[in-house]
Amino acid sequence: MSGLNAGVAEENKVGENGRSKVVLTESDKKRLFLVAALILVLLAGVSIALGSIHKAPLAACEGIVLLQNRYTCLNNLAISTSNASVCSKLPYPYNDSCVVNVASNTRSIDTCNATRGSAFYSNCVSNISASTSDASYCGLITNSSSSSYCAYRVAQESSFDNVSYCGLMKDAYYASQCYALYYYNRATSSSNATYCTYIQNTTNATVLYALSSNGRAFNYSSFNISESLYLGIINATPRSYCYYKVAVLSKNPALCSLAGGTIGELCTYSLYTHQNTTTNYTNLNASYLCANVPASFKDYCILGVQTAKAANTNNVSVCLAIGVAQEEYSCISTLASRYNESSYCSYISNSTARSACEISATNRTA
Amino acid sequence: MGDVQRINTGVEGLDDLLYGGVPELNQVVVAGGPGSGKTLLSMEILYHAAKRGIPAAFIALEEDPRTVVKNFKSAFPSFSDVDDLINNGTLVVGGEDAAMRIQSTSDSESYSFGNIVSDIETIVGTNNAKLVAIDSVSLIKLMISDNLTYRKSMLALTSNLRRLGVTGIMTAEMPSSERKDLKFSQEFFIFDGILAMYQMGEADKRTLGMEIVKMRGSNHSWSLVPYEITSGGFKVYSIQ
Ligand SMILES: Nc1ncnc2c1ncn2[C@@H]1O[C@H](COP(=O)(O)OP(=O)(O)OP(=O)(O)O)[C@@H](O)[C@H]1O
Ligand SMILES: [Mg+2]
Repeated sequence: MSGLNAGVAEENKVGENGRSKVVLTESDKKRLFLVAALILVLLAGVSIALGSIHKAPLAACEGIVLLQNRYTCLNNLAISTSNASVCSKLPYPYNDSCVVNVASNTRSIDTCNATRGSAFYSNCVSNISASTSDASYCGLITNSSSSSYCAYRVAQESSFDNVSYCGLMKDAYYASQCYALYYYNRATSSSNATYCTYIQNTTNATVLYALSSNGRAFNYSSFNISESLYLGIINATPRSYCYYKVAVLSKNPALCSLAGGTIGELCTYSLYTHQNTTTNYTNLNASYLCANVPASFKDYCILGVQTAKAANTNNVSVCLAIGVAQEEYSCISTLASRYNESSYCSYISNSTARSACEISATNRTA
Repeated sequence: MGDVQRINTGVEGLDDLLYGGVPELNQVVVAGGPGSGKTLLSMEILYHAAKRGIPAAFIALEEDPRTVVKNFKSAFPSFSDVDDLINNGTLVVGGEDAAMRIQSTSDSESYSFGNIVSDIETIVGTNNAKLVAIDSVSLIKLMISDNLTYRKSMLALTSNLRRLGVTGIMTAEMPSSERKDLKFSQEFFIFDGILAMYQMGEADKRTLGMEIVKMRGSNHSWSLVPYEITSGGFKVYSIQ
């Protein structure tokens, strides 16, 4: 076994002895002093041994018996000396990973050439491209999907505010997301729906989801049950989603008709539930508002309307009118948490859901 | 972003990759090819959390929960005190009822999915788990034939877990374990984070690699790093 392992074992032993001796030697200060001195000496030894892992020259690293520690030692040595040739002392895939670390740290594309595996090479080039915001090197990656992913990462670094990156993506999976995100971000940040016309108007769930989860208008707290209203809708195209989002952000119902179809109807519905200043919540009528919602979303729609109504009127009986236990629980929990009123939770018969409700009602600080 | 609350994975090297741990309430998918270690890794994360006193629940949909524990102990002899955590209730390993519902085809899809969600909530409720693993969500996909219903169901599941105050780790089988095929089907956008595990195939020897592809609410390393499944747990070769 290596010195390191012996040192660590020693340290543990001393730790135990040290603790028990303190109790035994309360009346014997000399012994306590000796033990303390011994601990100090051993701790110093251990820290030298541990320190050598990071600072040892090549030979010291290579002398380490335990493979994992040897690999870590060589990797750290390569990084600290910015010397990728040290990585060649490692077997695959540790050598490649080591090269990626050195290259990424020094932002040297040439160093990436020392990798053997194509996955590590493409990760190496992508890391440097992303950290330097320079997508031109992505073309060095031969696999079209990996090369496109490299450019996608650079585009992502810039929050998709530079459309030229999208042109470098040969793989349609990445290119279509990139273009859609770029125009969607322009549309939502300027509340100018003209940008939506550049977004594809054919069904593409991947792009649709990319917009809703990566777009600038993404808001963590809004990614809840009401998001699922449109996320699951098959006939929403990325373009109609863009109209929908700009409509809601700018509170402009005219844009809902541009969205068209089911998402257009949901757009109108969302404007109702989001316009907290103008809507008379007491008169919200779930069955009227949700009448044109597709059958598979009717339950969500009713839940959304009833929750908005309950939460804005502080009226738990609105939740109890939903008629589906799980959804009533969700509505009641929202209400309890909003008003910090855990007594509402007693309307929940399921004990698990009730305790979750109580926790969320009492934990809420803001 | 510096003050985001995180749950440490406790897995050697993985917290370095995550710049500290998984942000609380994130629903993270651990995606990989067959045998990449998804089950063992998610179980190890729960084990370390439970050891720190964080109530955790593992929902086994693919195997008998007892098999999961048995395999965990045989792969990781140094974690054999997992039984203590199970006995004192800090770690719950369950899922038989939900697994049975998935296997029986008699129920309608949405009805039985609703029951699976409530089975999961019941398990989470037994120890008020703050960290939950579901192994695997790919099985739920098999159960629900309609893609739209499946996506809707996954949304319902993740938003329910978030509502329960739970940080989630879902395992998922990837169609390809090669990194160049890294593309995610639509349902992956629902998740707040993606950890991808690959076979770094060199003909004779099996080597493994992982990377964080996405982690909402947090910065993270973008490096593809090797990992090993050792008797002392997973070892991820990240830089500290
Ligand atoms: N006792 C053990 N000792 C060492 N390694 C083991 C042991 N048991 C399992 N493994 C490793 O763990 C891998 C399987 O782990 P795990 O079951 O977590 O993978 P998985 O990704 O969940 O697989 P599946 O796709 O079958 O669900 C095996 O390929 C093997 O390399
Ligand atoms: Mg498994």
